Amino acid sequence: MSDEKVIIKSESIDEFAEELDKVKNALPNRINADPEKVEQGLAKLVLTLIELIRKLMEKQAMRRIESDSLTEEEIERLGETLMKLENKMNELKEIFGLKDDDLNLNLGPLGDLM
Amino acid sequence: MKKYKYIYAILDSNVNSSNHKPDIMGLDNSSVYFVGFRDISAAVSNVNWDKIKVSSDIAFSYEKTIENLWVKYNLLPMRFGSVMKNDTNIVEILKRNYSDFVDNLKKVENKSEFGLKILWDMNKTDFKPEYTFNLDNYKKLKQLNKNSIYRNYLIDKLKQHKSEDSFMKKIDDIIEEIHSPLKKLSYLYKVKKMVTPKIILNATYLVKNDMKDEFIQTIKQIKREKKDIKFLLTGPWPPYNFVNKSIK
Repeated sequence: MSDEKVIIKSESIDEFAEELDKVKNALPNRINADPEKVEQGLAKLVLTLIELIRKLMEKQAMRRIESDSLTEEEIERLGETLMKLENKMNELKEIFGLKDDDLNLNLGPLGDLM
Repeated sequence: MKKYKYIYAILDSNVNSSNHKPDIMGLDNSSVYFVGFRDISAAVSNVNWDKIKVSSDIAFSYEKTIENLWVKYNLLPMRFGSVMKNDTNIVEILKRNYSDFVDNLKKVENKSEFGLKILWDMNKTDFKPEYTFNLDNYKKLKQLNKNSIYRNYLIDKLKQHKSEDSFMKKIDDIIEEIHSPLKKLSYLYKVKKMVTPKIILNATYLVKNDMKDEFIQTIKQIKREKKDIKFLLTGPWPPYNFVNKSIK
């Protein structure tokens, strides 16, 4: 985009460029086929999707607790499930050398995943 | 090397009019010419497809060609990479899609597109999520054993979600304050919220040409009032985001 098309900008537009790069790099265009990195590339893709589902489950669970539609036993089981799921995700991230930011995915109107 | 017809835009000008030689260069240093049907035309040029690689330079050239056409004609930009084998195929497309093309051309006539991106970095402001959490409101959760790690985990999660809700409410308020006056000045608009954690609004507006100045001045005014928010307004652009048409 040429500068002549910029009508209003705050001091630096570098910050915009950096942020937009994040969208571009949210998911790899292609899986890295390097034998040593292929696992990490696949893991990033799969774990991003699992994290999306986990977050959606968590949101739904919070709504159920707030709406008082669960029994005490169900609430406790839900807490156990969510906690174990989060711990397992942390383990997997560590195994594949991934950080929270690596699994970030823009969800449009839902906002950012993490 | 096979030649193809690269289509840049659909225009509401008749190929038989006196303007039929636009004197505009297209991709691969080719001259743009018109292929017409009734009162609309396609702006095309002959390109060696082998030379057209997908790159930012080619994309900029394509955009420049459309910009040059847009100065002279009301148009619908075609998707980057639209090619046909020959002029006969192009006339067929114009015939099959004639009424949709005409409708869209009427919609975008005398209007320009503007892109607005808003960046707000919560960490660089004094914003603190505000929420109240009262365990008494969650009777069943409260009744669980106080030493249960799952009970405490869920309490933390509820607080975290309330904090996130407060953050989203703040984002919605900022977007509303910016977007609300702009949508009144726009003919059409498209809004995406939270494109990234910091780019909280990515919007495109189709603005009547006689409203352009007021639209720009309104954004300048909002920018002056909102010191902790960064603005990026670009335009005027051809109506890239306001053509509702799948080619048949």
